Amino acid sequence: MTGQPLLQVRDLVVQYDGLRALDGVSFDVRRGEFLGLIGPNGAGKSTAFGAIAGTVRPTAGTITFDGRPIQGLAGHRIAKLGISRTFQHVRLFTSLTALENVTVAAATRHRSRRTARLRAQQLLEHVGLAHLATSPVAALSLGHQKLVAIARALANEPCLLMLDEMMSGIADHEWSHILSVLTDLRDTGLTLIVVEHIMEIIDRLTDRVIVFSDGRILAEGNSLDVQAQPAVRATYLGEPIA
Amino acid sequence: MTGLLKSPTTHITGFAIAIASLPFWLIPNSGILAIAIVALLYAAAATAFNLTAGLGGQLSFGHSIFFGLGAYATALLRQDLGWNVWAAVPVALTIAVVAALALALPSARLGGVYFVLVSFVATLALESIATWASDVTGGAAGISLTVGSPAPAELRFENPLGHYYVALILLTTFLGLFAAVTRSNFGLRLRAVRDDPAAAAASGIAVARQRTVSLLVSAALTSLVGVAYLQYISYIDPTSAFGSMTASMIAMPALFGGLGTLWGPVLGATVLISVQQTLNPAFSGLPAGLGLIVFGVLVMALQTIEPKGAVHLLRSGLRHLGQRLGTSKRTAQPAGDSLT
Amino acid sequence: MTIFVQTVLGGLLLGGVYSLVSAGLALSFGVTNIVDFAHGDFVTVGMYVAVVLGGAGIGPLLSAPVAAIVVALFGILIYTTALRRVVDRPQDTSDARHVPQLVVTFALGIVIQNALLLGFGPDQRTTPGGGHVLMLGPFTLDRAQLIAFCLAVTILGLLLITLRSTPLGRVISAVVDDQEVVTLLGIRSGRLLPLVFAVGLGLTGFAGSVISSYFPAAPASGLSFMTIAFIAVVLGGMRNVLGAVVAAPLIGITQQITATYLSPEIANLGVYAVFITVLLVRPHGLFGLKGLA
Repeated sequence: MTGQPLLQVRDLVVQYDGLRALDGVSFDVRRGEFLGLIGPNGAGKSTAFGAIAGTVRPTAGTITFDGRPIQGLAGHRIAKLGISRTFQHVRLFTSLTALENVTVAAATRHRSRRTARLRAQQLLEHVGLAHLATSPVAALSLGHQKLVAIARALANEPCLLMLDEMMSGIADHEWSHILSVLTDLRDTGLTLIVVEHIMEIIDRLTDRVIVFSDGRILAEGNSLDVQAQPAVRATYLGEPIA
Repeated sequence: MTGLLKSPTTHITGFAIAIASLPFWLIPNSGILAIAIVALLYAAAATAFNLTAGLGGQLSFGHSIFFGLGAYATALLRQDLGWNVWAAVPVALTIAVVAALALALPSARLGGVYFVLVSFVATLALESIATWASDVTGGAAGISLTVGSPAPAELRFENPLGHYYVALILLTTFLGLFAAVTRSNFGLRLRAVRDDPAAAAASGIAVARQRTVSLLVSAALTSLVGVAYLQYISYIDPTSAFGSMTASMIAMPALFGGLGTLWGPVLGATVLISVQQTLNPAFSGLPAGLGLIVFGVLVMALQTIEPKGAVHLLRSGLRHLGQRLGTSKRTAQPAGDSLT
Repeated sequence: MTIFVQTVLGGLLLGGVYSLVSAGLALSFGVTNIVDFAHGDFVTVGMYVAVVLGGAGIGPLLSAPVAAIVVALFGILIYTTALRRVVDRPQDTSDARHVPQLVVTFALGIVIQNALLLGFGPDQRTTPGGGHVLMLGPFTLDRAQLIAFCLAVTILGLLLITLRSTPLGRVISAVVDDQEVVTLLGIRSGRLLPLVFAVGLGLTGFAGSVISSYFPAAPASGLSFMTIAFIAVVLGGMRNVLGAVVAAPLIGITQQITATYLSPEIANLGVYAVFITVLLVRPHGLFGLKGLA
């Protein structure tokens, strides 16, 4: 393990027309860390994902990944450098099968079609969906779609994986399956950032959480400690400051 | 064996043989043959269009740009410099590719509706330019090539059947290419970009590059149709080269038949071009306008009933029929979307 | 200098009516997300309403309200029979989501053009009156164009006031700004969308009738109006009615400058050039993204 953090975000600002979605955010992510981003809707968590992954163009600030600045790079270049993400609304390639969804991402790492396909099959197996490989993704349940999204993100062979609200909208019977996939990912030593509303997941998996509120960082630290802070309880859990 | 039956190569070969045989038993006279040639040419152009619009989701309402440039380049080189068609082909291809690059510049950034508008406006702009630059292009009157003595080696035929087979060769080649691209990694990337550009970028796919390459290939192929069209008609003017009707005659067969499907553009061109040509006053003696009214109503009706196109409608119809007859075994198979 | 001012003045007068056509398009696009490739042909329908009423001795300016109503009703009919099924679904992220409505409206345009061709023949038709010229110092103004301009400005003023200060207008503005408002406000979009589409087309039909006072009607006249309206809407920032209204006269002026200094044959070429340049430099239009008025 090198001393330098894998990801350094400094004074990040994202401005949409009239709205300042991120207003000077700075944080680090260490190698192998499992970081949780929490906060109310519209606090800027997904925007932070977007800015890091190149889906959203930062207005100001720097993002350094593995020692090199990446802010403002095109999304596919950032993906090639080793940052993968999933989306809150899944966003699979709807006219492709599950296997094709993963293969197309794997093909950015493997020149040969055969190798890409094998890798994709392997990944689908890894998330427990080998039996659904040839299904059109539109026919899959939301939980299965989210697993395909994870496999697709992994097919990029990332060093940093960002998962946006994996557990929301998941049927009860799929819950433990997805949780075990997430736990497996953590155990492989991959660096992970998750946006999640379900505190049980945050408490169980994360090493550290950052609380966003109104485009700024409100608090940072161990999940339970952070939740005990009055300011966090006030904005996030809606309790008045005692 | 069933793999062979399902392979698009088999389908395309079968199709080519069947169409090649038509003049010997189904096409009764030169009037119908003329319609068939036009239908084949537009089917080829629509297949080229399908490559970028269907697979890449880059809907161009200005593919007439490439068609018209191909036709004009050939006409001018033949008329002014006395070149033969084979010398004109590389020039036509080059010009079309350069035009496509110019068009890709804004579209790579904009996409969606903007691209539709930019491409449409660009073809109208070319129509204006071709009308204006009359010293070079002959202006609104167009260029009429002297037919001269037939020279099959230079694609100038005495019997229009020659043009029929040229058009068929183009179409068959384009269909083969389309099927190959669909199955390739490039095709997979294109379809990913079409489905969700942002997610494609996040998966490491260079969105703008896929779009640009597909547009370049599509433009090059479309310009070849322009060359073949000129060889057949021996006449080109700004409106038939770049006008909005030509733009729609290239796009509509694919949109009607089924965007992104192999056979959609062929089916669409067969139906729409036949309707438009047979109800044409010159052919049928019917009042002007009727043919295109039917054309438009057909497109509207189909699009509201089945936005995915006639191929899908036909397939679900066949499946339904198959189940009715209890022979659902073959037709009820989930047909791989990409290859149908 | 006189020629230049005369040219700009002429462009401005034409531009007033272009504003009307463009406002109609911006409104229907903003609310229904329909990229209406038949928009120009609705102008032509308005022109032919004036031609028909002109046969009964009614002038095109008096015909304008009738044309507005006819075209608006026609719009409702088209919306409920065909467009309703192909309106945009905002949750669809694919680039191809506009395809069905583009196809339907483009085909509709073909149907309208050819129905007019079938009914009225290919020749140009004119309406009674017109041809009068007013002198303003060294400048000449076409009387019909001047009246059309004043009418267009009045109607647009009324439209903008309605959008800003009536309850329905504010709802419409909100929807133009943000599609999700439809769901948030629980608006019965089933009724709002065709209504606004019809209002947009009413403006367009009105404009068509007014235009016929100085521009002869032909079945394919709509193409150039459609192109102008599209360009005005894009330059204005897509979902920005005021932006389209302001951009349209700029198009009229560009057209006239190209016609005067290059060649009337390519009057539109200057407009296309401006359009493509602006898209390259400012892809979200001249005035930025948001804001209805």
